[in-house]
Amino acid sequence: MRTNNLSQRGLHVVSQSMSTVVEIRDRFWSGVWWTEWRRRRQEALMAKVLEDAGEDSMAARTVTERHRWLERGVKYWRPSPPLVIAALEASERAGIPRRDLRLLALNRDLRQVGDDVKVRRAWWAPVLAYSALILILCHWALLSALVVFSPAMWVAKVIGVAAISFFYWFLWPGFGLYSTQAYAAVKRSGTAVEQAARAASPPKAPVVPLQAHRM
Amino acid sequence: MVIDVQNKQDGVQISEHHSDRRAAVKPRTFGQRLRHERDRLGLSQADFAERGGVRRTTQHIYESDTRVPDLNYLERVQEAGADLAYLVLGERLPPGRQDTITLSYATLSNIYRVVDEFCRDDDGHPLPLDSRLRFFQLLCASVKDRGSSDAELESLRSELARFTGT
Repeated sequence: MRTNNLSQRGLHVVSQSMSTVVEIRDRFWSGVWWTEWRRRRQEALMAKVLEDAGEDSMAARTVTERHRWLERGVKYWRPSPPLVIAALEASERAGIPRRDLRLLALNRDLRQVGDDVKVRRAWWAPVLAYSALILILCHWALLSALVVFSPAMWVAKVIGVAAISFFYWFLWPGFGLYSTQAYAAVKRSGTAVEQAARAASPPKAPVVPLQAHRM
Repeated sequence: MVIDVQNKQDGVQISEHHSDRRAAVKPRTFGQRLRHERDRLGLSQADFAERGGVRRTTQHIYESDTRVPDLNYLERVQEAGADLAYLVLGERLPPGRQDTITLSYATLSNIYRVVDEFCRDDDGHPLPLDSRLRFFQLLCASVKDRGSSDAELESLRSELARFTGT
């Protein structure tokens, strides 16, 4: 009984650690650390502006808006225009997973077209995604074959293949975020995001030409 | 500087008489209510930040609705005199109604659902038990004051969604 509990706790700790490692790996490849660094710099600038000009000054408002833009950028892995951010937040409220929204924002697949927000569905996206996957798989297989057919001891071969596999396990998600995962996110959540964006878009006022009033 | 002090004094005095321009329009967001409470207490941003245990920049970020504070901050500002129910829900609790509560099974289930929905981190994992418990207590107190019908809980839920920016 006690051994069972211990093994369950051990498995839990291992799965927790693995999910943390995967999370760190994705954050690294997404480049969100760069936006975080920019946000920290903006906070330092904000502190200075608040001290020098006060909280109600125009300078403080400008810095605050820029900080807000970066804050949302950190949340969705990349800063986006306000209309796109509003669409992302509306989609999240509608229950679309944040990971899909992050992938859409990261790849700029969610775009502002005129006054609307649309999902980009390019014909080359699946071609690029699966080409990248095949390329990486072939490269991994080639390197592994070189190690396996080398005249080294079997222990060295196992370690070599494991090291190469670990390297590609770390490398592939970097490609995946911008290829297969991005394509899958568009396929999975694209339509729902567009619907949520449409539902959340602010009402448009009719534009009346000035000439019409003058006549 | 003189103008700032004058405005602050006006803010305190007038808001108590419900004729302040800011009070006339009910503050919709948490940040606006936080600023309103700070003005009511007559504290500067730096002073209020110190009482909340955060830096002035963080206080400004909270007031501009860019980020939401944690429960520790809310508890500290409550100790400093801020009305927590007003900050979170936008309505002031009448005095003398904060001791015991009686809630039905259905209401408790609804509160549990709200806690389960909102007490999650950026990646959707549940917050620590301590944080969830405090949020639960806060909700129980709020529901007691507002009533426990489905409509009331739904309005509470939408206010919380606005508060957390989700």
